[in-house]
Amino acid sequence: MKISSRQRSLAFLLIGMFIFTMTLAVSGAEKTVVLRMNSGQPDLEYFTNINNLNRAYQKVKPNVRIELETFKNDGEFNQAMKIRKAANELPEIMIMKPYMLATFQDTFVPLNDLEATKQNKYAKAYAIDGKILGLPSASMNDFVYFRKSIFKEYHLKIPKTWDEFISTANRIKASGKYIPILMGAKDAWPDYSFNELMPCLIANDGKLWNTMAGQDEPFTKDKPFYQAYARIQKLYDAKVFGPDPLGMGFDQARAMLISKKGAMICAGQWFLSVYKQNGGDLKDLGVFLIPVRDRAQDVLNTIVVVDSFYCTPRDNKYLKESKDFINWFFSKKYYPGYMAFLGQTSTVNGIDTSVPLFKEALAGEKINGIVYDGGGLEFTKISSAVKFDVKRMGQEMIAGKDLDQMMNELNKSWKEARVNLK
Amino acid sequence: MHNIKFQKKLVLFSFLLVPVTLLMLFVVYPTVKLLHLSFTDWDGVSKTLAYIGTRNFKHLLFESPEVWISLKNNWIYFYVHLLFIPVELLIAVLLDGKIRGSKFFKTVSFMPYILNGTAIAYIFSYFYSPIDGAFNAILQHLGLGGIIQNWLSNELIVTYTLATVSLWRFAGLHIILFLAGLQSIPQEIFEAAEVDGANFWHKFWRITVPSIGTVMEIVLFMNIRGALQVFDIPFLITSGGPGYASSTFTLYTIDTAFKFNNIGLAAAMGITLLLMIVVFSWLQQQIFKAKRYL
Repeated sequence: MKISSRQRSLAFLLIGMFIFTMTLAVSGAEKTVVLRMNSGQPDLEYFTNINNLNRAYQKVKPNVRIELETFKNDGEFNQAMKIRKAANELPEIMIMKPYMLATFQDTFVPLNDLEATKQNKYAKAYAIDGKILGLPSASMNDFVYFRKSIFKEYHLKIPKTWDEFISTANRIKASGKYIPILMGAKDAWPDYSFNELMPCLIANDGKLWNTMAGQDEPFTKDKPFYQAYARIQKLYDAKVFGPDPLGMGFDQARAMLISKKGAMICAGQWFLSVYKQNGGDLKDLGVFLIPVRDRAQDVLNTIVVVDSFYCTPRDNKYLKESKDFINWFFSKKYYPGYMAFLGQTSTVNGIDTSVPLFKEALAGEKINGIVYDGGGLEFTKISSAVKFDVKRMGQEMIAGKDLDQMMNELNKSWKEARVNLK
Repeated sequence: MHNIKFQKKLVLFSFLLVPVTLLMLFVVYPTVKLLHLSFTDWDGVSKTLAYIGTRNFKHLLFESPEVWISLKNNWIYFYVHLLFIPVELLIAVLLDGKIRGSKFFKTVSFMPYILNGTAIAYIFSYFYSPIDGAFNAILQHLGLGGIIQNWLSNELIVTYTLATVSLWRFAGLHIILFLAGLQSIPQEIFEAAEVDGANFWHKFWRITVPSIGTVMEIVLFMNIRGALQVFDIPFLITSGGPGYASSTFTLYTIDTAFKFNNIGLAAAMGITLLLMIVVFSWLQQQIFKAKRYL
């Protein structure tokens, strides 16, 4: 078949048009930017099923894709980030715990100039050398969650002092029907309400770890750490955590509160969404602040844990896009719904997400909120050197290890570490 | 001639290039890097590090009681598995015989080994649970309620509890290895022994055990290596707790590296673990060699 010159010209024209269209399409289309971000439960449920984070953000920035990475727990996340930092493979958006900020302080870019920073209530308080390295997304108090029907069954009132708290637990224990306080201490971390937070409450100092970093022997009897631990020991000695608190994990403890085999559990505001998601009866759930005081008429110190700091690494090749995302995340477009789902308190001015259940518990008390600081670099160095692990100490206290012996050993190694690190 | 020699070398070179490169990249380089880091104080995050000589090794040997608790726990795993090896061998012999449903039992015994470690941890966390736990219920049912313990929280027994989980998981693998060894023994030897009037135990001690020496060596090597490196079972079931009661050497190394920000010390622990495996495996080989000459 012979091709005419007309046909040849038409073919060239078509090919030319195709190449032209493709060139236009390629040059016109913006490059897709992938921002990786870590997430754990219950946040993941909201980011994927309730209000899909990627879809919500693509309405604003169609060329940006949010890719969520999940980790089993904070420890695993911390570990993975250290490995990935060495390989220069950090995700673009990192949600950090307050205690991780000091260790990673050289990793993050300061966010002082962001609009979202100006609206954040706590960002400045966590600045390191004036640099705001992360924007906290949630603040929460720690509560004792209790089954109202069990309290009603034994005519119990909400305890106002530490001794009343122990005697309330003892009365439930005496009945033999329910476990008074569910702990799940096999996982170590659930004792944080006592072993990690109580020293700050007793000291009335949210920055107690930093104060201790400047002392040679912060574990002596006249110091707040010892005083807090002596109270905790009194509670642990009452054996109100069931037959074997160290033999059960938190998942089991949570399931037992939901199935009403236990009366109380101590946890932060985050627990409410976990309880809801697992089918807990909300009508029968009450909360009160952990009563750490000695007299009911005293002001009640309560911890305010500021959590989930949104940070972005210095070496991030999508720095502008990451900052834009953080700005958007903390805006009224997405953030209020997310906070409401988690049942946590907003850290952003002008956005109120308080949950009535917690509001009521806080309203009836004269309270003094102590903002918890995870510890600065000096504290991190000393605590690493002496392998200071309050959650493990909690397990050892439950197992029956002598408190004075623990404190003496810590005083000795703390002092040595301070000398060695000078 | 010269051309053939060159071609031979070329073939050898091209065949070895990929595996040797992979070996250098993923085994030799990390080991050298590990040795390098073991003489530093690197925290895993800082951009700088300082050389501190052998301080990490001194700290490991003389100033870390938790290391010794952990190492003692590793040896508990070793001894529990070691004590069970004769039973595993006996089960393999029984399964090798013409018993009814032997194929089914072989599959069942191997099944735990192919199960996911996390799933096993969850199963046994609930199995040993103090409340509604299946193990305590079985004991109660058998009238043995008096021996019920806090299986996962009693510091004196928690490692033994976890060692039984490890045993449940790995016994099947050992049984299959023993079976492979048994099937390599010529049947004529057994038949000749039977003609000479040998009973089951005679055949077991005089033919079976000596004939599977190589398999036994492999199983014992795996036992030493596995016991010294045990990680997932204590990590997932008890996280090494309560306190450090069920911690193991590897678990403590991970804590040192990531919880306590001391990669230098963790690297020293890694090198020590490597040396321990080499030394104990060598010792074991010497014992086997000496036995062969007896």
